[in-house]
Order: sequence, then C-alpha cells, then structure tokens
Amino acid sequence: MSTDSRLPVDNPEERFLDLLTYAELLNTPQLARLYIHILKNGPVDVDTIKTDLEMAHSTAYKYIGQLEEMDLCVRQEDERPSTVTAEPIRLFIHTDEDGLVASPALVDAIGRQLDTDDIRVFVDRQGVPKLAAALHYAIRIRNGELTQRTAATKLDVHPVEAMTVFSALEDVIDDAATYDPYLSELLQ
Amino acid sequence: MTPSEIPSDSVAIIDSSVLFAMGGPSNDKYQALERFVRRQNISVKIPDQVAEELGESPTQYEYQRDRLRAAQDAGWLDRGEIDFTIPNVSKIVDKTRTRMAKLAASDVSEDDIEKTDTILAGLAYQYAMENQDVSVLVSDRLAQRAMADVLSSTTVSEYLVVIEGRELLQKLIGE
Repeated sequence: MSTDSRLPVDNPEERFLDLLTYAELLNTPQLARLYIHILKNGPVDVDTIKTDLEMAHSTAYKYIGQLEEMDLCVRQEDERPSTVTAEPIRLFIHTDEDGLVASPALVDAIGRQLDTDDIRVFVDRQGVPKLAAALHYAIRIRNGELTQRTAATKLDVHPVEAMTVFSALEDVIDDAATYDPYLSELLQ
Repeated sequence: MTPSEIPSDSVAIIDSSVLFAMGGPSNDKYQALERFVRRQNISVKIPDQVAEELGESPTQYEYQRDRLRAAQDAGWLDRGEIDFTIPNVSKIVDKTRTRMAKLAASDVSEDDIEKTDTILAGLAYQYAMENQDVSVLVSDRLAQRAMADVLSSTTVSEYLVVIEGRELLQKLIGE
C-alpha cells in the first residue's frame, strides 16, 4: 500500500475512503455481486436486478443504497423506471519492493462465492487474500508466464485445490475482459 | 483448433486443467466431451501422476475425484502409465521441463517446473511411438506451448497434436 507521506496528496481522506470502499466490497460477497451486475449491465432498472440476482426487494434497495453511499453507483431518478449505472474501480497497492492492481475482476471473483462452489470452497478454506493471490496467478497463467502447477506451488496450496480455483477464475477473466478495462491492460 | 484435428481411433491424454473445466456428469461440457470421444472412438487417458495428485487432494475436493471416477466407471477414460524404459521418453520429459523454464517468466526456474506437467509430454510421445495418433488436451498456455515445441521436434511429430482443452469443450457444446 502506498504510504509515502513525502508526496503531496490532494485529498488524503478520499484516498483512504477508496481503500475502505474496496475492502468493503471484498468482505461482502452480496455487495460485490450486485456491483459487478450493475457494472456489466448498467444502465439497468432495479426490478431487473432483483429478478436477475433473485434478491428480495428490501435487500436490493439496501445494497444499492450502500453502493450509492460508497460512490460506486449512480441512480438515474429522472428515468421511469429509474436505472442504475456503475463505474469500474481499481486500487493500486504499492510497497517498497513491488506493487499490484486490484480491479473489478477481483470483486467479481468475490461475488461468485455465492453461486460457484469451486470459489466458495476455496475461500472457506483459504480466505479472501489467497483468492486475490490466486486471481493474480490466474492472470499470469493466462499470459503464459507460468504453468498452473508452478503457480500452485507459489500459492502454497495443493495442485488440485489451486487448479480447481484457477479453472473457475478463467471464467471470471473471460467475463471481466468485457467490462474491466484495467484487466485488459494486464492481459497480453 | 477444431475438434476435427483429433482423429478417430486416437489417444487423447487429458490433464486436470481440462478435467476441472468440463465439470461433473450433469454438466454440458462433460456430456459433450463424452459424446465426442465415444463417437470418434477416442481412448482418453489420464496420466497416473495426475490421478495420484487427485487422490491425495484435500477431502473437500472429493467431488473432483468423483468426476474422474464417473468417467472411468462409464468406460470412456482410464489411466495411462508412463514407461521410462522406452527410449527417449525420459529425454522428452527433460526437454519439456527445460522448454517450460525457458518460456516462463524470469521468476520461474527449472526447479520450479512440476514433474507432472512434463509427464504429459512423455506419455504422449510413448503412445506416438506405437504409431498411434495422440492429442494432449491441456488448458494452460505455457504447458501447451512447451509441449507443442518439444513434440513437434520428435521423429513421430506427425502423430502428435497439443490442443487447448477449454476451447475444445466450448466448441463441442456448440456443435
């Protein structure tokens, strides 16, 4: 994470808010799934969202309200029915040694815990940071930089567990390439 | 790549990356592959090392072992044993490891290449030496490139093809 206090920052509060916003998405699969659905399909009306995601009316409004508060989506009230849109977000994580970018593809992977067993089992056993690392390696595998088994060793999980989640993350990468401009920058 | 690149009556060696991508017996991709290999009379082999890797996986991944067992029980997939006493088999395995390391990113050394990845190429060569057409189905770009490079430089290259397994599954369900 970038903590270099020597650099002037226009709005430090907003930067930390961005960090917390991303963390909230990573810790709340329902919110992550909703954000990605709006990002992919927006502008989309609330009734369609409820049907597509099989969400209760109150739950849908609660989470859309939360995404609005987090400045992750915008509701067009002047349209009937009112529609919602979302913008792709990304987080740069830098240390003194290296850095990486977290983009909507990771949020998508988090949301898929709800309906993809291969991802749910992995997160149950290994946690969200390991899933994020698995996505990092899945992108490198797609780029031909290492094999799935070598990546499994680097991820420090059994090859079957790693290759299972890599296979599920291939689907995430395929889909995210259509709505995540930052992922496209990483794919060769 | 089209399914027609896989000849009838041939051997197809399948890796976990494709096995996992095809899902279980109720999945469209699993069923499409089963229909295809039965129609074309293709003998599907999973290397012993890959089967053993599955066997020793955490219990939560029992469902992956079940997929393998279902295909074995249905009679369209069985294990393939690499025989290092056949001339050049171990050389192909070594060359594949070297090629994978050469094509890989700078943070991957030859020691980081897993033996199971290289066994697939050795087993393919072994079947090709018996004058059988062989396809290797993988879904792993680096492994695919390295195996294709090594196998294409052998004396039996006309019997060998390395295929992107996920793309194949996608095309088979579209048929």
